[in-house]
Amino acid sequence: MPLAGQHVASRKRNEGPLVPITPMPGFSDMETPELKNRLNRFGVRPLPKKQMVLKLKEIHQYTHQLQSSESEEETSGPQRPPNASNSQSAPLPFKQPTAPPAASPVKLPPSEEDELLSASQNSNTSSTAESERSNPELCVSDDDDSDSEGITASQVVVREKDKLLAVRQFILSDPKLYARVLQYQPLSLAELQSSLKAAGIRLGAAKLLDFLDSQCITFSTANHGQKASSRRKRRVKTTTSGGAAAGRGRKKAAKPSGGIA
Amino acid sequence: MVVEVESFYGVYMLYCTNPKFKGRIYIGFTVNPERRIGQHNAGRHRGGAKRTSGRGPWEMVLIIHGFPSDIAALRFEWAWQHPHSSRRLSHVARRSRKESSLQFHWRVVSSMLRVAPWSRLPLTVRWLKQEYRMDFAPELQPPLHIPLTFGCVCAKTKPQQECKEQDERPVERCVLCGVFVKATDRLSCFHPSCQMVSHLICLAKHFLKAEPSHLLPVEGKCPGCHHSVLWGSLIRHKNGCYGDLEEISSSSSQSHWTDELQL
Repeated sequence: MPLAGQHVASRKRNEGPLVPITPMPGFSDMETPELKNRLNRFGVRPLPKKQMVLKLKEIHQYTHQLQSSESEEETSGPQRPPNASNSQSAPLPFKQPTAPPAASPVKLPPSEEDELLSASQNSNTSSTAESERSNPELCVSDDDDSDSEGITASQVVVREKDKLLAVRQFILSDPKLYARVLQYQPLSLAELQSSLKAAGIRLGAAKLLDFLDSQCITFSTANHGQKASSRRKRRVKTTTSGGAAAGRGRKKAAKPSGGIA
Repeated sequence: MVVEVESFYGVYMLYCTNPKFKGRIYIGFTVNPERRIGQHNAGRHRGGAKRTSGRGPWEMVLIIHGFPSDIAALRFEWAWQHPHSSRRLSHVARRSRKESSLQFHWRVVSSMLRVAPWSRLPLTVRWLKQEYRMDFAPELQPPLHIPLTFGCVCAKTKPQQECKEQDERPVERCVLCGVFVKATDRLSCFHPSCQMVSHLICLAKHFLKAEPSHLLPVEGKCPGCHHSVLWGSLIRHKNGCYGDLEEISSSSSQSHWTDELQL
């Protein structure tokens, strides 16, 4: 129930009653038929006993958080069967099946049932050390690009759009830069960011990266200093293959260390 | 027919045929696929990855190539290996129990091709081994410019470009703006008998009329011969890579066995 006079930001927190934390029932001491029955109420099919216990515990934890997610469900949820689980006093964050439950299990937060990526790579792949350092997916930290002077959310969005348009214009108006983009040559993120700054466009690295990604523009987060020092030990090769082609001893921008053929 | 490609950057998928490790998948990067598979199967002391060493035999079944730089390929490799850590692949569901590793990895790569930053790159999806080939799921079709193809590929070293050739070239004007074109910004159409020459930026803007919100073109109609050409092919052509340009023209520019005859 929205409370009159409340500031927008804190409305969510006050919506609905605070859920008292009910102690967890002793699932581990229950017999299998009872576990099956309880799981069935959530539309989860019978599992081996150990797994049923774990799943019920998971469900209990998930449904007993002090979050607004439950109160949201309150206003929009469908009818609930009157025999809702007796172990909780709060409405469920997910819908209960109104039809007789099919065998399909309810989707819950990641459990130990997760897939095993067989032979999925760890850090021993050909590109690892190098790509993890200069991997745009990993190493960009959020800059403080916001000048928060009490502006509203929509104002922030507008300002950001303007900045992105400015970045776009900046690239278009610099023939050398645009030519690089058009030939798929990687741009240096740091260099670009400082050029933009010099032109009066202040955009955080994370947002800039997002923009470049959306345009499919390749960039490097090159930190040239690190490359030489962490070159992996070269394996002794018994064949005279083109080992030199991998650039040992040469400093080329973004050339990965060993293991690349 | 083996396709030869210069300036090759590819990300490949290996499949383990050893019954002990049956179905295992490995994702890697290479500039020379034929050499690379040999290294994998020869073991880590001969250049193969530790991960695959002694766990073969491996077959290189699929390769995505056409990356314009090693950086682009390496990022793709990482994301394919770690779809659940990649910021661009949060929509890709984890492997289900009924999905084999091969199917899962195919699903992941199918999803990758459809999203930025890879959806506008001039990539080719190539099954190297027919027995393993899978089609794209109907809801995971790649962008229209990314072909699905089959057969072997060979990385070719680019012959040294003749600087002389460029100096001796007659002065040319851009067909779009009329101004003289310098070698560094020169684009020309690779279709046989098409004489189109233009500035890099002029042609890009021409192609982008259909996609005004983008900076990087994907394809467009050549203002000279009106054939549809891929931007990626134009750039490769500019860089002296004549192998693996579009299929339409490749049949005419690819070498024929009679070329080898000393007549």
